[in-house]
Amino acid sequence: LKFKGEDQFKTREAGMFKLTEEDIAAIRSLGAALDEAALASDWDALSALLTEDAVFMPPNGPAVQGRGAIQEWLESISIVMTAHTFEFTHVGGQGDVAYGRANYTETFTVGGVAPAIEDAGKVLGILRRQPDNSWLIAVWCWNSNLPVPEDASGAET
Amino acid sequence: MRRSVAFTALLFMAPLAACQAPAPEAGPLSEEDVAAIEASADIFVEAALAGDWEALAALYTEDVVLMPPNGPVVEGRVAIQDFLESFPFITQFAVTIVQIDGRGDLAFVRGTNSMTLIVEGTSEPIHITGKYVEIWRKQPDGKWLIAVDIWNSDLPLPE
Repeated sequence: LKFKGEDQFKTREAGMFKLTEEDIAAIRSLGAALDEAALASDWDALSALLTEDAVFMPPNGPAVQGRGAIQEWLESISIVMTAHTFEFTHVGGQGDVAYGRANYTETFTVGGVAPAIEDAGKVLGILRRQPDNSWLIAVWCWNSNLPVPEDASGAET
Repeated sequence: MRRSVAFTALLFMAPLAACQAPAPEAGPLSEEDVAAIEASADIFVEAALAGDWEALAALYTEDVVLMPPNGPVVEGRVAIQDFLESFPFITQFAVTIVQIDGRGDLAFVRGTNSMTLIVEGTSEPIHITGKYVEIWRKQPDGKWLIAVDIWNSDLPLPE
């Protein structure tokens, strides 16, 4: 049994759970903070943007789970960033769960040793609203837009 | 994505809504929602193994955004079907869902996958293990479809 207009009510009700302008602004600020931390290779600052149980899903390696483990992983790969850009291209969500699609570019060396490596790619992140209404990164999966290097059968950059 | 006939009324309500922060909490996914997403994930694997790209494309929203590794994003169900048709022949494909969570009509799925491919011009099959994240959206008819899909390989780059 369905009442006339019930579906419309449900649509409006669902609309109540959409992110507010403040949520979107906070998530975009989170992206700016991540960009700043990455450019400075400041993994302590970057880790502070993650939930305690966050999952990083980097290309060419297994997922890394937990804020502490992610910070150790970031420190272990010895990246020294010389250029970094990051921009959310779309943010959506419901209630205390949001997602963001983003593009990045970066130039870095491993351990400060030449040659510099350039990359450009895309990110899909899951974000969670915290009790203080701030947003943190819960899941972060990314990959490169650049073609697979020669002889890299089955692997991705 | 959804339109209400009460659009004019909503226009007047918008400034009021803007003052109401934070947004009320949308409820977690129901067991039925999780089961529906899991069932669609099974259909996804079956369609990929059968090379049935039409069936696979039907699991995506009309405005889906596919984010494949080593290439640009692919947008829209039609473009995705073209992308899938150019995919190498799949001889083995398995998916393990690690997490399903969401609120209201939004869900995300995180998982791992393994795939064996026959790439034209190569003699040996290529075996890949990787991971993925998908955004799912519940449609007005109650069906869940994939709206955003990203994945990458676990395999290290060659030296």
